[in-house]
Amino acid sequence: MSTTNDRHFKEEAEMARELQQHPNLHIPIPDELEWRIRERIHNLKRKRRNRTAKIATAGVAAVCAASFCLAVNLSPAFAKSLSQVPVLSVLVDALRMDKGIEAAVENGHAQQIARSVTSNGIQFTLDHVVADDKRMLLTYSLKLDDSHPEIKHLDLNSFTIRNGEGELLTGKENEQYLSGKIGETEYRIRHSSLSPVQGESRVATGYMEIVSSDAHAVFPPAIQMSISSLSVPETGEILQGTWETSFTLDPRLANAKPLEYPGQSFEMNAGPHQLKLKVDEIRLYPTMTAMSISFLNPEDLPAGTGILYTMHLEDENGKVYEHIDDEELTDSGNVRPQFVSSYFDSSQELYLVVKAVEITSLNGGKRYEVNKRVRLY
Amino acid sequence: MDEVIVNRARQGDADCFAEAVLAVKDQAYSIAYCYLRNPENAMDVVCNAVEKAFANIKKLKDPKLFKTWFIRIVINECKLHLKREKKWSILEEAESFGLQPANWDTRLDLDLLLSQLHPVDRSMIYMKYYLGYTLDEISTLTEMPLGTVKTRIYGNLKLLRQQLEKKEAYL
Repeated sequence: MSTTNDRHFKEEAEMARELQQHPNLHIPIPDELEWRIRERIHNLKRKRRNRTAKIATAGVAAVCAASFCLAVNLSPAFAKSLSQVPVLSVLVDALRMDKGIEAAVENGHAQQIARSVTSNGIQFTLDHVVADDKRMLLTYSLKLDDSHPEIKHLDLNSFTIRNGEGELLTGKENEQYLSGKIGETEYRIRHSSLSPVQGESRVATGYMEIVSSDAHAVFPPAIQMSISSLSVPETGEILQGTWETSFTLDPRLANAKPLEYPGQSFEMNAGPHQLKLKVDEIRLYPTMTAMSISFLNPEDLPAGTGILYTMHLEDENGKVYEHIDDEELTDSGNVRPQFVSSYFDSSQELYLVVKAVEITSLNGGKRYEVNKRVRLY
Repeated sequence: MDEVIVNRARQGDADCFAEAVLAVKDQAYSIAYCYLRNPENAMDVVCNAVEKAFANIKKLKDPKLFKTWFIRIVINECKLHLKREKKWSILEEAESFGLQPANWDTRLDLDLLLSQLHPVDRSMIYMKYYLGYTLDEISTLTEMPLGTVKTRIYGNLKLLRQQLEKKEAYL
Protein backbone atom coordinates (compact mmCIF):
# COMPACT_ATOMS: atom_id res chain seq x y z
CA MET A 1 0.00 0.00 0.00
CA SER A 2 1.44 3.32 -0.99
CA THR A 3 1.57 6.19 1.48
CA THR A 4 0.85 9.84 0.67
CA ASN A 5 4.59 10.53 0.74
CA ASP A 6 5.26 7.72 -1.73
CA ARG A 7 2.68 9.15 -4.12
CA HIS A 8 4.18 12.60 -3.76
CA PHE A 9 7.62 11.22 -4.44
CA LYS A 10 6.46 9.38 -7.55
CA GLU A 11 4.54 12.35 -8.89
CA GLU A 12 7.42 14.65 -8.14
CA ALA A 13 9.93 12.46 -9.93
CA GLU A 14 7.72 12.17 -13.01
CA MET A 15 6.89 15.84 -13.18
CA ALA A 16 10.48 16.88 -12.50
CA ARG A 17 11.56 14.84 -15.51
CA GLU A 18 8.80 16.33 -17.63
CA LEU A 19 9.59 19.85 -16.56
CA GLN A 20 13.32 19.57 -17.00
CA GLN A 21 12.97 18.19 -20.51
CA HIS A 22 10.61 20.90 -21.66
CA PRO A 23 12.51 23.21 -24.01
CA ASN A 24 10.09 26.14 -23.73
CA LEU A 25 10.72 26.49 -20.04
CA HIS A 26 14.24 27.77 -20.38
CA ILE A 27 14.12 31.44 -19.42
CA PRO A 28 16.59 33.44 -21.51
CA ILE A 29 18.35 36.22 -19.62
CA PRO A 30 18.22 39.47 -21.65
CA ASP A 31 21.59 41.06 -22.38
CA GLU A 32 20.05 44.34 -21.34
CA LEU A 33 19.59 43.18 -17.74
CA GLU A 34 23.21 43.68 -16.73
CA TRP A 35 23.29 47.09 -18.36
CA ARG A 36 20.07 48.09 -16.57
CA ILE A 37 21.40 46.96 -13.18
CA ARG A 38 24.70 48.75 -13.67
CA GLU A 39 22.88 51.87 -14.76
CA ARG A 40 20.64 51.77 -11.70
CA ILE A 41 23.62 51.36 -9.37
CA HIS A 42 25.42 54.16 -11.22
CA ASN A 43 22.41 56.44 -10.58
CA LEU A 44 22.28 55.40 -6.94
CA LYS A 45 25.96 56.26 -6.58
CA ARG A 46 25.28 59.68 -8.08
CA LYS A 47 22.31 60.17 -5.78
CA ARG A 48 24.41 59.23 -2.78
CA ARG A 49 27.08 61.70 -3.85
CA ASN A 50 24.39 64.38 -4.23
CA ARG A 51 23.03 63.62 -0.79
CA THR A 52 26.50 63.89 0.71
CA ALA A 53 26.94 67.11 -1.17
CA LYS A 54 23.79 68.57 0.35
CA ILE A 55 25.39 68.38 3.80
CA ALA A 56 27.95 70.98 2.81
CA THR A 57 25.62 73.23 0.87
CA ALA A 58 27.73 76.35 0.98
CA GLY A 59 30.90 74.64 -0.12
CA VAL A 60 29.18 72.82 -2.90
CA ALA A 61 27.48 75.97 -4.12
CA ALA A 62 30.88 77.63 -4.38
CA VAL A 63 32.32 74.72 -6.31
CA CYS A 64 29.29 74.61 -8.60
CA ALA A 65 29.63 78.31 -9.28
CA ALA A 66 33.30 77.86 -10.11
CA SER A 67 32.54 74.92 -12.36
CA PHE A 68 29.92 76.88 -14.17
CA CYS A 69 32.29 79.78 -14.72
CA LEU A 70 34.64 77.29 -16.29
CA ALA A 71 31.89 76.03 -18.55
CA VAL A 72 30.99 79.59 -19.45
CA ASN A 73 34.58 80.38 -20.29
CA LEU A 74 34.94 77.29 -22.37
CA SER A 75 31.68 77.68 -24.11
CA PRO A 76 30.12 81.13 -24.48
CA ALA A 77 27.42 79.84 -26.81
CA PHE A 78 26.29 77.43 -24.16
CA ALA A 79 26.14 80.12 -21.48
CA LYS A 80 24.16 82.37 -23.76
CA SER A 81 21.63 79.72 -24.65
CA LEU A 82 20.86 78.94 -21.05
CA SER A 83 21.33 82.34 -19.46
CA GLN A 84 17.72 82.45 -18.30
CA VAL A 85 18.10 79.53 -15.93
CA PRO A 86 17.78 80.95 -12.42
CA VAL A 87 20.25 78.81 -10.54
CA LEU A 88 23.02 77.38 -12.61
CA SER A 89 24.42 74.59 -10.52
CA VAL A 90 21.78 72.16 -11.70
CA LEU A 91 23.06 72.47 -15.22
CA VAL A 92 26.61 71.98 -14.13
CA ASP A 93 25.43 68.75 -12.62
CA ALA A 94 23.65 67.79 -15.82
CA LEU A 95 26.73 68.58 -17.86
CA ARG A 96 28.97 66.59 -15.61
CA MET A 97 26.63 63.79 -16.39
CA ASP A 98 26.73 64.29 -20.09
CA LYS A 99 28.81 66.32 -22.48
CA GLY A 100 26.42 65.35 -25.25
CA ILE A 101 23.79 67.65 -23.81
CA GLU A 102 26.26 70.53 -23.79
CA ALA A 103 27.08 69.97 -27.45
CA ALA A 104 23.38 69.89 -28.34
CA VAL A 105 22.66 73.07 -26.38
CA GLU A 106 25.63 74.84 -27.97
CA ASN A 107 24.05 74.09 -31.31
CA GLY A 108 20.75 75.63 -30.31
CA HIS A 109 19.09 72.32 -29.69
CA ALA A 110 17.34 73.55 -26.52
CA GLN A 111 13.91 75.03 -26.07
CA GLN A 112 13.00 77.53 -23.41
CA ILE A 113 9.63 76.80 -21.80
CA ALA A 114 9.55 79.10 -18.74
CA ARG A 115 6.03 78.16 -17.64
CA SER A 116 5.19 78.64 -13.97
CA VAL A 117 2.39 77.56 -11.71
CA THR A 118 2.00 78.27 -7.98
CA SER A 119 0.29 76.12 -5.35
CA ASN A 120 0.70 75.83 -1.56
CA GLY A 121 3.19 78.70 -1.53
CA ILE A 122 5.58 77.03 -3.96
CA GLN A 123 6.10 78.14 -7.54
CA PHE A 124 7.01 75.39 -9.98
CA THR A 125 8.64 76.46 -13.25
CA LEU A 126 9.41 74.18 -16.14
CA ASP A 127 12.47 75.95 -17.52
CA HIS A 128 13.97 74.15 -20.52
CA VAL A 129 13.79 71.04 -22.57
CA VAL A 130 16.59 69.46 -24.57
CA ALA A 131 15.30 66.55 -26.60
CA ASP A 132 15.75 64.33 -29.59
CA ASP A 133 14.20 60.99 -30.49
CA LYS A 134 16.41 59.19 -28.00
CA ARG A 135 15.90 61.12 -24.80
CA MET A 136 14.51 64.22 -23.22
CA LEU A 137 16.11 66.38 -20.53
CA LEU A 138 13.81 68.70 -18.58
CA THR A 139 15.12 71.41 -16.27
CA TYR A 140 12.82 72.92 -13.67
CA SER A 141 12.82 75.01 -10.51
CA LEU A 142 10.83 75.26 -7.29
CA LYS A 143 10.62 78.68 -5.61
CA LEU A 144 9.43 78.81 -2.00
CA ASP A 145 7.60 81.79 -0.52
CA ASP A 146 7.79 82.97 3.12
CA SER A 147 5.34 80.34 4.33
CA HIS A 148 8.06 77.68 4.24
CA PRO A 149 11.05 79.33 5.93
CA GLU A 150 12.39 76.12 7.49
CA ILE A 151 12.60 73.97 4.33
CA LYS A 152 16.12 73.36 3.05
CA HIS A 153 15.51 70.42 0.74
CA LEU A 154 12.61 69.31 -1.36
CA ASP A 155 11.87 66.30 -3.46
CA LEU A 156 9.22 65.56 -6.08
CA ASN A 157 7.04 63.07 -4.22
CA SER A 158 4.28 62.30 -6.67
CA PHE A 159 4.09 63.40 -10.28
CA THR A 160 3.25 62.22 -13.76
CA ILE A 161 4.50 63.09 -17.23
CA ARG A 162 2.00 62.31 -19.97
CA ASN A 163 1.62 62.81 -23.69
CA GLY A 164 -1.02 65.08 -25.23
CA GLU A 165 -3.60 62.29 -25.08
CA GLY A 166 -3.03 61.81 -21.36
CA GLU A 167 -1.13 58.52 -21.69
CA LEU A 168 1.54 58.01 -19.04
CA LEU A 169 5.20 58.29 -20.05
CA THR A 170 6.70 58.25 -16.60
CA GLY A 171 6.37 59.71 -13.13
CA LYS A 172 6.77 58.89 -9.47
CA GLU A 173 4.46 57.49 -6.84
CA ASN A 174 5.12 55.97 -3.39
CA GLU A 175 8.88 56.50 -3.75
CA GLN A 176 8.86 54.48 -6.98
CA TYR A 177 9.53 55.82 -10.42
CA LEU A 178 6.83 54.81 -12.87
CA SER A 179 7.45 53.40 -16.27
CA GLY A 180 4.70 53.99 -18.80
CA LYS A 181 4.09 52.22 -22.06
CA ILE A 182 2.68 53.84 -25.15
CA GLY A 183 2.25 51.38 -27.98
CA GLU A 184 5.33 49.18 -27.82
CA THR A 185 7.56 51.86 -26.30
CA GLU A 186 8.33 52.10 -22.63
CA TYR A 187 9.52 55.34 -21.07
CA ARG A 188 11.36 55.83 -17.81
CA ILE A 189 13.44 58.33 -15.88
CA ARG A 190 17.14 57.60 -16.15
CA HIS A 191 18.60 60.47 -14.13
CA SER A 192 16.95 62.88 -11.76
CA SER A 193 18.45 65.46 -9.46
CA LEU A 194 17.20 68.38 -7.38
CA SER A 195 19.47 70.91 -5.69
CA PRO A 196 19.00 72.19 -2.13
CA VAL A 197 16.90 75.33 -1.70
CA GLN A 198 19.43 78.05 -2.41
CA GLY A 199 20.01 81.75 -1.95
CA GLU A 200 17.78 84.58 -0.81
CA SER A 201 15.32 83.78 -3.58
CA ARG A 202 14.88 80.30 -2.03
CA VAL A 203 14.94 78.38 -5.28
CA ALA A 204 15.73 74.69 -5.80
CA THR A 205 16.54 73.62 -9.33
CA GLY A 206 16.38 70.18 -10.81
CA TYR A 207 16.52 68.19 -13.96
CA MET A 208 15.32 64.83 -15.10
CA GLU A 209 16.28 62.78 -18.09
CA ILE A 210 13.63 60.59 -19.70
CA VAL A 211 14.62 57.79 -22.04
CA SER A 212 12.65 55.37 -24.17
CA SER A 213 13.21 51.63 -24.41
CA ASP A 214 12.89 51.47 -28.16
CA ALA A 215 15.74 52.84 -30.22
CA HIS A 216 13.34 53.65 -33.05
CA ALA A 217 10.77 55.41 -30.86
CA VAL A 218 10.14 59.13 -30.83
CA PHE A 219 9.01 61.32 -27.98
CA PRO A 220 5.46 62.64 -28.26
CA PRO A 221 5.39 66.29 -29.36
CA ALA A 222 3.02 67.40 -26.58
CA ILE A 223 3.98 66.83 -22.96
CA GLN A 224 1.94 67.42 -19.81
CA MET A 225 3.54 67.45 -16.39
CA SER A 226 1.48 67.25 -13.23
CA ILE A 227 2.87 67.27 -9.69
CA SER A 228 0.48 66.43 -6.84
CA SER A 229 2.86 66.43 -3.88
CA LEU A 230 6.36 67.39 -2.79
CA SER A 231 8.22 65.91 0.16
CA VAL A 232 10.62 67.37 2.69
CA PRO A 233 13.34 64.71 3.16
CA GLU A 234 14.44 65.89 6.63
CA THR A 235 11.01 65.68 8.25
CA GLY A 236 9.12 63.35 5.93
CA GLU A 237 6.46 66.05 5.58
CA ILE A 238 4.34 65.86 2.41
CA LEU A 239 3.23 69.11 0.80
CA GLN A 240 0.10 68.62 -1.25
CA GLY A 241 -0.67 70.89 -4.18
CA THR A 242 -1.48 71.00 -7.85
CA TRP A 243 1.30 72.05 -10.15
CA GLU A 244 0.35 71.37 -13.76
CA THR A 245 1.91 72.61 -16.94
CA SER A 246 2.34 71.49 -20.52
CA PHE A 247 4.35 72.34 -23.57
CA THR A 248 4.72 71.39 -27.20
CA LEU A 249 8.12 70.42 -28.49
CA ASP A 250 9.60 72.92 -30.90
CA PRO A 251 9.49 71.32 -34.40
CA ARG A 252 13.27 71.90 -34.60
CA LEU A 253 13.69 69.43 -31.75
CA ALA A 254 10.87 67.08 -32.68
CA ASN A 255 11.95 66.78 -36.30
CA ALA A 256 15.66 66.26 -35.73
CA LYS A 257 15.78 62.67 -36.94
CA PRO A 258 18.84 60.53 -36.25
CA LEU A 259 21.33 59.87 -39.02
CA GLU A 260 21.69 56.15 -39.41
CA TYR A 261 24.65 54.19 -40.72
CA PRO A 262 25.03 50.44 -41.20
CA GLY A 263 27.40 48.58 -38.94
CA GLN A 264 30.37 46.38 -39.74
CA SER A 265 32.54 43.63 -38.28
CA PHE A 266 36.13 43.99 -37.16
CA GLU A 267 38.80 42.09 -35.29
CA MET A 268 41.47 43.17 -32.85
CA ASN A 269 44.11 41.58 -30.68
CA ALA A 270 44.18 42.15 -26.94
CA GLY A 271 47.40 40.42 -25.86
CA PRO A 272 46.88 36.71 -26.49
CA HIS A 273 43.16 37.16 -27.16
CA GLN A 274 41.76 37.70 -30.61
CA LEU A 275 38.43 39.51 -30.29
CA LYS A 276 35.87 39.44 -33.08
CA LEU A 277 33.38 42.28 -32.83
CA LYS A 278 30.55 43.74 -34.81
CA VAL A 279 29.18 47.25 -34.68
CA ASP A 280 25.50 46.47 -35.19
CA GLU A 281 24.22 49.94 -35.92
CA ILE A 282 25.20 53.56 -35.58
CA ARG A 283 22.76 56.36 -34.93
CA LEU A 284 23.73 59.99 -34.69
CA TYR A 285 21.28 61.94 -32.54
CA PRO A 286 21.66 65.62 -31.64
CA THR A 287 22.53 64.75 -28.03
CA MET A 288 24.59 61.63 -28.57
CA THR A 289 25.86 59.01 -30.97
CA ALA A 290 24.51 55.60 -30.01
CA MET A 291 25.66 52.22 -31.19
CA SER A 292 25.64 48.62 -30.11
CA ILE A 293 28.71 46.43 -30.33
CA SER A 294 28.41 42.65 -30.21
CA PHE A 295 31.21 40.36 -29.14
CA LEU A 296 31.13 37.45 -31.57
CA ASN A 297 33.53 34.92 -30.04
CA PRO A 298 32.87 34.81 -26.28
CA GLU A 299 33.71 31.10 -26.33
CA ASP A 300 37.36 32.04 -26.87
CA LEU A 301 37.60 33.68 -23.44
CA PRO A 302 37.59 31.79 -20.13
CA ALA A 303 34.24 31.54 -18.32
CA GLY A 304 33.58 34.34 -15.85
CA THR A 305 35.64 36.83 -17.85
CA GLY A 306 34.48 40.38 -18.46
CA ILE A 307 35.58 42.95 -21.02
CA LEU A 308 36.10 46.63 -20.35
CA TYR A 309 36.55 48.84 -23.38
CA THR A 310 38.21 52.27 -23.43
CA MET A 311 37.08 53.97 -26.59
CA HIS A 312 36.01 57.16 -28.31
CA LEU A 313 34.97 58.39 -31.73
CA GLU A 314 37.14 60.54 -33.95
CA ASP A 315 36.48 62.34 -37.23
CA GLU A 316 38.81 62.71 -40.22
CA ASN A 317 40.39 65.84 -38.70
CA GLY A 318 41.20 64.15 -35.40
CA LYS A 319 38.33 65.78 -33.46
CA VAL A 320 37.50 63.49 -30.55
CA TYR A 321 33.93 62.64 -29.42
CA GLU A 322 34.22 61.20 -25.95
CA HIS A 323 32.49 58.18 -24.51
CA ILE A 324 29.68 59.64 -22.38
CA ASP A 325 28.96 56.86 -19.92
CA ASP A 326 31.46 55.30 -17.60
CA GLU A 327 33.27 52.35 -19.07
CA GLU A 328 30.88 49.46 -19.10
CA LEU A 329 31.94 46.07 -17.85
CA THR A 330 29.95 43.25 -19.34
CA ASP A 331 30.43 39.55 -19.05
CA SER A 332 28.88 39.01 -22.45
CA GLY A 333 31.25 41.49 -24.11
CA ASN A 334 28.26 43.22 -25.74
CA VAL A 335 28.03 46.94 -25.09
CA ARG A 336 25.81 49.85 -26.08
CA PRO A 337 28.15 52.80 -25.79
CA GLN A 338 27.07 56.40 -26.19
CA PHE A 339 29.35 59.16 -27.37
CA VAL A 340 29.27 62.94 -27.64
CA SER A 341 27.43 63.58 -30.87
CA SER A 342 28.98 64.70 -34.11
CA TYR A 343 25.48 65.43 -35.39
CA PHE A 344 26.03 69.14 -35.84
CA ASP A 345 29.52 68.83 -37.33
CA SER A 346 30.14 68.39 -40.98
CA SER A 347 32.53 65.49 -40.54
CA GLN A 348 32.85 63.33 -43.64
CA GLU A 349 34.34 60.34 -41.87
CA LEU A 350 33.84 58.87 -38.43
CA TYR A 351 36.10 56.33 -36.72
CA LEU A 352 35.63 54.17 -33.64
CA VAL A 353 38.92 54.16 -31.76
CA VAL A 354 39.36 51.39 -29.19
CA LYS A 355 42.30 52.61 -27.12
CA ALA A 356 42.48 49.72 -24.68
CA VAL A 357 40.72 46.58 -23.59
CA GLU A 358 40.78 45.18 -20.09
CA ILE A 359 40.06 41.50 -19.73
CA THR A 360 38.77 41.10 -16.19
CA SER A 361 37.97 38.28 -13.85
CA LEU A 362 37.17 38.09 -10.16
CA ASN A 363 40.88 37.67 -9.48
CA GLY A 364 41.78 40.93 -11.17
CA GLY A 365 42.21 42.16 -14.69
CA LYS A 366 44.80 42.72 -17.39
CA ARG A 367 44.75 45.79 -19.56
CA TYR A 368 45.98 45.71 -23.14
CA GLU A 369 46.69 48.77 -25.27
CA VAL A 370 44.89 48.10 -28.53
CA ASN A 371 44.66 51.36 -30.51
CA LYS A 372 42.28 49.82 -33.02
CA ARG A 373 40.75 52.29 -35.46
CA VAL A 374 37.61 51.28 -37.36
CA ARG A 375 36.05 53.50 -39.99
CA LEU A 376 32.31 53.69 -39.38
CA TYR A 377 31.45 55.82 -42.38
CA MET B 1 29.05 34.23 -2.97
CA ASP B 2 32.31 35.85 -1.96
CA GLU B 3 31.88 37.11 1.59
CA VAL B 4 34.67 39.65 1.20
CA ILE B 5 32.81 41.26 -1.69
CA VAL B 6 29.54 41.37 0.27
CA ASN B 7 31.29 42.80 3.32
CA ARG B 8 32.83 45.54 1.23
CA ALA B 9 29.41 46.23 -0.26
CA ARG B 10 28.02 46.54 3.28
CA GLN B 11 30.69 49.11 3.99
CA GLY B 12 29.42 51.21 1.12
CA ASP B 13 31.56 50.02 -1.81
CA ALA B 14 29.18 50.39 -4.76
CA ASP B 15 31.40 48.44 -7.14
CA CYS B 16 31.40 45.45 -4.81
CA PHE B 17 27.65 45.81 -4.41
CA ALA B 18 27.33 45.67 -8.20
CA GLU B 19 29.52 42.58 -8.31
CA ALA B 20 27.45 40.84 -5.64
CA VAL B 21 24.17 41.67 -7.36
CA LEU B 22 25.40 40.70 -10.82
CA ALA B 23 26.45 37.31 -9.45
CA VAL B 24 22.81 36.51 -8.63
CA LYS B 25 21.10 38.50 -11.37
CA ASP B 26 20.21 35.53 -13.55
CA GLN B 27 18.40 33.70 -10.76
CA ALA B 28 16.72 36.90 -9.61
CA TYR B 29 15.50 37.62 -13.14
CA SER B 30 14.30 34.05 -13.72
CA ILE B 31 12.23 34.11 -10.56
CA ALA B 32 10.84 37.56 -11.38
CA TYR B 33 10.00 36.37 -14.88
CA CYS B 34 8.17 33.37 -13.41
CA TYR B 35 6.05 35.71 -11.36
CA LEU B 36 5.37 38.31 -14.03
CA ARG B 37 5.76 36.54 -17.41
CA ASN B 38 7.02 39.73 -18.99
CA PRO B 39 10.72 40.48 -19.60
CA GLU B 40 10.40 44.26 -19.21
CA ASN B 41 8.45 43.98 -15.96
CA ALA B 42 10.86 41.36 -14.66
CA MET B 43 13.82 43.63 -15.41
CA ASP B 44 12.09 46.59 -13.75
CA VAL B 45 11.37 44.54 -10.66
CA VAL B 46 14.97 43.33 -10.42
CA CYS B 47 16.20 46.92 -10.79
CA ASN B 48 13.80 48.11 -8.08
CA ALA B 49 15.07 45.32 -5.85
CA VAL B 50 18.64 46.49 -6.59
CA GLU B 51 17.65 49.95 -5.40
CA LYS B 52 16.09 48.62 -2.18
CA ALA B 53 19.05 46.34 -1.53
CA PHE B 54 21.48 49.23 -2.11
CA ALA B 55 19.63 51.33 0.48
CA ASN B 56 19.46 48.52 3.04
CA ILE B 57 22.65 46.53 2.52
CA LYS B 58 24.00 47.72 5.88
CA LYS B 59 21.10 45.94 7.57
CA LEU B 60 22.21 42.58 6.18
CA LYS B 61 23.78 40.89 9.20
CA ASP B 62 25.27 37.75 7.68
CA PRO B 63 27.08 38.18 4.32
CA LYS B 64 26.56 34.47 3.64
CA LEU B 65 22.85 35.17 3.32
CA PHE B 66 23.19 37.85 0.63
CA LYS B 67 21.67 35.74 -2.14
CA THR B 68 18.69 34.65 -0.04
CA TRP B 69 18.20 38.19 1.19
CA PHE B 70 18.32 39.69 -2.28
CA ILE B 71 16.03 37.09 -3.88
CA ARG B 72 13.57 37.73 -1.08
CA ILE B 73 13.54 41.43 -1.93
CA VAL B 74 12.94 40.49 -5.59
CA ILE B 75 10.00 38.28 -4.63
CA ASN B 76 8.49 41.02 -2.46
CA GLU B 77 8.87 43.44 -5.36
CA CYS B 78 7.10 40.96 -7.63
CA LYS B 79 4.22 40.70 -5.19
CA LEU B 80 4.01 44.47 -4.99
CA HIS B 81 3.99 44.69 -8.77
CA LEU B 82 1.19 42.13 -9.09
CA LYS B 83 -0.76 43.86 -6.37
CA ARG B 84 -0.49 47.16 -8.23
CA GLU B 85 -1.62 45.53 -11.43
CA LYS B 86 -4.40 43.86 -9.43
CA LYS B 87 -4.15 40.85 -11.74
CA TRP B 88 -3.73 38.36 -8.95
CA SER B 89 -4.60 38.42 -5.31
CA ILE B 90 -1.56 37.68 -3.25
CA LEU B 91 -3.53 35.83 -0.61
CA GLU B 92 -1.70 32.86 0.75
CA GLU B 93 -4.81 30.78 1.55
CA ALA B 94 -4.78 27.20 0.41
CA GLU B 95 -7.67 27.72 -1.96
CA SER B 96 -5.80 30.38 -3.90
CA PHE B 97 -3.49 27.86 -5.50
CA GLY B 98 -4.22 25.92 -8.59
CA LEU B 99 -4.82 26.48 -12.26
CA GLN B 100 -7.03 29.33 -13.21
CA PRO B 101 -10.10 28.39 -15.24
CA ALA B 102 -9.18 28.67 -18.88
CA ASN B 103 -9.78 26.80 -22.07
CA TRP B 104 -7.99 23.75 -20.84
CA ASP B 105 -9.13 21.46 -23.60
CA THR B 106 -7.53 23.64 -26.26
CA ARG B 107 -4.50 24.95 -24.33
CA LEU B 108 -2.87 21.90 -22.94
CA ASP B 109 0.75 22.66 -23.53
CA LEU B 110 2.84 22.42 -20.38
CA ASP B 111 4.15 25.92 -20.83
CA LEU B 112 0.63 27.24 -21.09
CA LEU B 113 -0.46 25.21 -18.12
CA LEU B 114 2.35 26.71 -16.11
CA SER B 115 1.44 30.18 -17.32
CA GLN B 116 -2.06 29.64 -15.92
CA LEU B 117 -0.77 28.87 -12.45
CA HIS B 118 -0.88 31.46 -9.75
CA PRO B 119 2.42 33.38 -10.06
CA VAL B 120 3.51 32.26 -6.60
CA ASP B 121 2.95 28.61 -7.49
CA ARG B 122 4.67 28.95 -10.85
CA SER B 123 7.75 30.48 -9.32
CA MET B 124 7.88 27.86 -6.56
CA ILE B 125 7.86 25.08 -9.15
CA TYR B 126 10.54 26.88 -11.11
CA MET B 127 12.68 27.40 -8.03
CA LYS B 128 12.37 23.77 -7.08
CA TYR B 129 12.95 22.11 -10.44
CA TYR B 130 15.10 24.54 -12.37
CA LEU B 131 17.05 26.45 -9.79
CA GLY B 132 17.44 23.54 -7.41
CA TYR B 133 16.23 25.25 -4.25
CA THR B 134 15.21 23.00 -1.39
CA LEU B 135 11.72 23.21 0.05
CA ASP B 136 13.22 24.83 3.16
CA GLU B 137 14.90 27.50 1.05
CA ILE B 138 11.70 28.18 -0.87
CA SER B 139 9.87 28.49 2.44
CA THR B 140 12.42 31.09 3.59
CA LEU B 141 12.35 33.00 0.30
CA THR B 142 8.59 33.15 -0.04
CA GLU B 143 8.04 33.64 3.68
CA MET B 144 5.52 30.80 3.67
CA PRO B 145 5.35 27.92 6.15
CA LEU B 146 7.12 24.78 4.96
CA GLY B 147 3.87 22.81 5.05
CA THR B 148 2.16 25.34 2.77
CA VAL B 149 5.07 25.23 0.32
CA LYS B 150 4.91 21.45 0.17
CA THR B 151 1.13 21.41 -0.24
CA ARG B 152 1.19 23.98 -3.01
CA ILE B 153 4.04 22.42 -4.95
CA TYR B 154 2.70 18.89 -4.72
CA GLY B 155 -0.86 20.02 -5.32
CA ASN B 156 0.15 21.81 -8.48
CA LEU B 157 2.32 18.94 -9.66
CA LYS B 158 -0.73 16.76 -9.38
CA LEU B 159 -2.83 19.23 -11.33
CA LEU B 160 -0.18 19.53 -14.04
CA ARG B 161 0.05 15.76 -14.24
CA GLN B 162 -3.72 15.43 -14.63
CA GLN B 163 -3.83 18.06 -17.33
CA LEU B 164 -0.96 16.47 -19.25
CA GLU B 165 -2.69 13.12 -19.11
CA LYS B 166 -5.78 14.83 -20.45
CA LYS B 167 -3.62 16.22 -23.26
CA GLU B 168 -2.27 12.76 -24.08
CA ALA B 169 -5.83 11.47 -24.23
CA TYR B 170 -6.60 14.07 -26.90
CA LEU B 171 -3.60 13.13 -29.06
